[in-house]
Amino acid sequence: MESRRDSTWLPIWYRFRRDRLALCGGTFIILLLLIAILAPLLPIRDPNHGYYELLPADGRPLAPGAAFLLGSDAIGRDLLSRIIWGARVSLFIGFVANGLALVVGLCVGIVAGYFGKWVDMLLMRLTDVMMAFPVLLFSIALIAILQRGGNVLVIAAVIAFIYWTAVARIVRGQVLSLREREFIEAARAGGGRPRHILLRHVFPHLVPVLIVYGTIGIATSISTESILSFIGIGVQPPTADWGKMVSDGQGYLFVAPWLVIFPGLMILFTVLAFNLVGDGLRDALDPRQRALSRGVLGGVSAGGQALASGVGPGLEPESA
Amino acid sequence: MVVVLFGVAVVTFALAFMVPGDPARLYAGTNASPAAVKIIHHQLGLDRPVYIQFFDYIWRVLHLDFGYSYRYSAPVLPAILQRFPATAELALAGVFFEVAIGLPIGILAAARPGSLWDRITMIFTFVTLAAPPFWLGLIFLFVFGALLPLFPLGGYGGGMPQYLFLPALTLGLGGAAYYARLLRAVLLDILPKDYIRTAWAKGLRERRVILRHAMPNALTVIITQLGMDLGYFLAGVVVIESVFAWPGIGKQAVDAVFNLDIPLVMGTVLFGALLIVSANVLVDIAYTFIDPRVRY
Amino acid sequence: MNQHRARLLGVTVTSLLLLAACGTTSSTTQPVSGGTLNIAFKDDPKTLDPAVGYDTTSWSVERALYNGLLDYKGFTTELTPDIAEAMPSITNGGKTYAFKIRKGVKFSNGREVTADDFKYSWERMLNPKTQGPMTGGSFWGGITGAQDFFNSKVDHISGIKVVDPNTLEVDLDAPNQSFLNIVAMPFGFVIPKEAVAAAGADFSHKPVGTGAFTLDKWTAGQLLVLKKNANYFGKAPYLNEVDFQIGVTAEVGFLRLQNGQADLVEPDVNIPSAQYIQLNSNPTFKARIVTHANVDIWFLAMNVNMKPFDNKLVREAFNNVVNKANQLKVLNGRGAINNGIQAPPMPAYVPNYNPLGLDKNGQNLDKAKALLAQAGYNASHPFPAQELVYAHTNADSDNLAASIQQDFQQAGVTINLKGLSFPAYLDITGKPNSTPLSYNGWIQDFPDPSDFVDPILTCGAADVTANGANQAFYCNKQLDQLADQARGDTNTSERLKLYQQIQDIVAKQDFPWVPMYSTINTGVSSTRVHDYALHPVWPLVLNNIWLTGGK
Repeated sequence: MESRRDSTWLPIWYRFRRDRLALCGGTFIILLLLIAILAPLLPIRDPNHGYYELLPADGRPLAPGAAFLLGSDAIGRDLLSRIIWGARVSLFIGFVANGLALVVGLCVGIVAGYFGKWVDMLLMRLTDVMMAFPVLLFSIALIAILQRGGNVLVIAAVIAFIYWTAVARIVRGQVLSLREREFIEAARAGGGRPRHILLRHVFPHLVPVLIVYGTIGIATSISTESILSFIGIGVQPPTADWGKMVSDGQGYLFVAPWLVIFPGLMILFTVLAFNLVGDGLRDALDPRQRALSRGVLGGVSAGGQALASGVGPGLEPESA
Repeated sequence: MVVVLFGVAVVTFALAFMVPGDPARLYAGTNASPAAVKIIHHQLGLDRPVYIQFFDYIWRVLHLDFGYSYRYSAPVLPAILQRFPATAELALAGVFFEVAIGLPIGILAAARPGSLWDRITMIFTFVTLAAPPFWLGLIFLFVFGALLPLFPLGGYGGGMPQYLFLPALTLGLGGAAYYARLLRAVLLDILPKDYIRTAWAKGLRERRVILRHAMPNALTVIITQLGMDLGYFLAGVVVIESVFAWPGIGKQAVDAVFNLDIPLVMGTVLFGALLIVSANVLVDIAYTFIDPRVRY
Repeated sequence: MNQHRARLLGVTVTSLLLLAACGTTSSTTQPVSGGTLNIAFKDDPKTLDPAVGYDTTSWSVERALYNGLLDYKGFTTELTPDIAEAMPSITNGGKTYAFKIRKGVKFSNGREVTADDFKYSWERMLNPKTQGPMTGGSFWGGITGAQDFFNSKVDHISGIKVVDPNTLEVDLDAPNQSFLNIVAMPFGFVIPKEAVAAAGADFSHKPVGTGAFTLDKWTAGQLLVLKKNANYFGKAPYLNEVDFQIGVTAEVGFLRLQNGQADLVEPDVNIPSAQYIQLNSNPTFKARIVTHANVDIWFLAMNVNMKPFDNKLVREAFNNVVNKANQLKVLNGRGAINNGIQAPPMPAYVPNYNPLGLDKNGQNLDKAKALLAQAGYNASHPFPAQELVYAHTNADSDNLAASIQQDFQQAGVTINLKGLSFPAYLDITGKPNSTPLSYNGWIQDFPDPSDFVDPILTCGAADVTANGANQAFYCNKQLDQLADQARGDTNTSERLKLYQQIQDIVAKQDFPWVPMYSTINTGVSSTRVHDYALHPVWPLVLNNIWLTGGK
């Protein structure tokens, strides 16, 4: 039986380090996190203060230049400050939403996969129902109904509510294939209680899946959050948010394109970074988990679309 | 499947019922008098108990009555069906781009793993997957509106192809990357296999090997994915339609949300769910034909 | 070529040149008939049923399809007879109106209009079963017998009488100087009974009226086509056809306008800020922008029944904080600061009205802070954070609210923003004890000072059992008395004085609002359009528009 000790993580790190793109992504994320957390202390302008007096008479936004590095928006707010503060919102929602989805999905997946039979059927029917709904439409409807658009926790909860099903499916698939393996049989034969078996023997094998899907899930959550804000039911003004900034800048596309370009680029880089890191982790963890994970992790990664369409564990029929 | 459908109906109704505010107000209009609102409230049957409203809802849905739109003052389902062709058109064109762009890239990357071409395509896929679809659309609008006026900017244009190009391309690009990576991974899995090795040994040209021997097995995965992609499309169209002012059900639903036209929103959600369930069933059926090993 | 042919060619060329010269000079000054106008709209009109339509898009199209007894003269706010032969005779102390209906006015189905049609149309419009916004009271509630009709006790309104096929008489319970304006609203348009019967519930998509245009085709979400009505009783319009392209966003629409692919873009609303900036930078189009002062007032409403706004000192303090100049900057300068309640085009408007002595931005921050201190707020007892509720009516809404937030921050008050969709906003502000502070705009239903008092400042409008439009839930019996007096007062100058008194009570004494500004409407047309102008009441008037060369 393999044990999880620190020495096993070092080779993983070495493998990860070799993936240059993943390293870039990781560096970007760390920098972004630092800047986002330290934002209140940084010498940047108040993101919500409008410098009306600096705007020309017809109210045209200021172009990027000496005074405002990335330009200003239509009411004279500093775009650079708003982008930095927007990172706080996106990262917060990304982590919280993904965390929630992981926790719920993990619980449901383990219970369904391990206990099987009618518990499994019930839970799978439930996930089937949830997955039958068009993701974005459903989240829009949900937020509209709750009418608490603007509350970051609600937004995170709604996003988590949509994506836990994908996590549950994947975890269940993993647990199903694990269940048949010898060491689990041995543990069962040894008279271990289910909770003990789950915690000590099953869960550790799930960690790689969780790490990879967790990282990619953050990318998905941030992507979804930006879409919700773009449509107008995410974070409420005047809080700076990348998706909302692109939405506000739409009208000025031909007059002040920087209002659309810069926030959009930030979303792109952030989602890209998390995807690269997630992919790098998958590759780094892959050789050790070849037998388990090939059907799960191989070839199916990245992007909101995978989880958005509720893709199951993947290619081999038996893990479906 | 019936269970799923019932579950969908329950959830949909629950959501619609939870909406705060009096729908009668929306019916009556913005400046309507309070007495008018009261009268309409009664006319709509909103003062009946919950369970009665629920059974009424199920009954009506079974009779294809998805409710009455507040904003259009017309039944919901016909309103959705009227705009659905535009969405379907967009979705199909999007699939075309996904496949037309994604498959060749995936195949080429798999054929030359580790090469410069592989790296370039990987970067391309990463970037297009990470780019927010609404942002991509706006960038296209900017490029083709301000810099190179090649395509019309949004709208339906009576169905003429040039209006379809940009929204479909935007929709397809995100998915193309996904298919490219999927195909690459599947092919990399298949190519080392014995029957491929036999083909190489026979001296067949590379193209033949890939297209004739490897692809058919990869197709199962692709087709399954396409079927499940419906969910992605119904999500993607919401944003794309808003950006390009494409008159489909996605845009209609977003507008409805802001008009608090809950029947229309829930009707679209229900409609979308029904589509997805049907698509999954079709995929399952298709699967049995494609892969003889699978039997239900 | 031979001589004969050369001469022929010469004559032909010369005459062609002459014709061309004549053609160009005459087409720039004289209206030319013909052509199709392209209008871009973001959304379909909600309905084309005049009994139900209550938004600017619906009214834009309805104005072309239907007529009523009265209309507005040209582009003024003066009433003039339309289907009526002449202005009505008013008797019985201002309580009875007699309208004579013109002969020979035909619906587009060929039938002639009679007084019966008006009785039918109005009763249908007020019938609870129609679920229109006018049912239950509001403007038409003063007609004798209307209340019983609303309560479904009777089948007809006794106060609407058909004296003979061409005479309609209306009795009111009390005189109302704005009754004729009410009659001129689209709710008063006449429709034929048989068309409603034939269309069933779908009359909103199959309109039949007496208008200068008829509905030719309507593909929802895409296209709505109007064609000239050959049997129109009035002066024929110049245009042959009007195509409404639906589903076009402002960004795309105004680009098309500059390319000539669209002639008007969302004419029923003001040009959005971003597009306005774009057009202003283009000399050709800057010259084509038309303007008109709107009859509206934009203000913050403070719920006088909720803490801390039940304290008059607080309300007065708030009246000294808002930087109204910045609000106008967000609107690209399209408006004017207004510290009162009547709009500039109104006769009751008082120019340069500044009762609180505010500076040129509309602020007096020192006084505001002093008043708050006087009200008992200081370092140990700070002013509680407030939530400003506002509606997302257009792209500027968020910016306007953000500006308010910034102003109050400078006065030491924390304001949180809550933006809602318009229906949700109406819902929440309509409940008596839910919204302490809201951002409001009141746009005229018709150009009469009573419309800026009765629906929004009287005790009746603050009825706590219903959804009233008095967002401050303000009730002052003295003001009500003055309003009642002014409503029926036939002496114009006395009436104006009463409305100015009411304005003083609101802006100098009770402070239920923080009045901020009135807006200026702007519109623009493509280069081939002539005689497009903004109407003070109608969102869109098509009758005068003509195109270069009639194409």
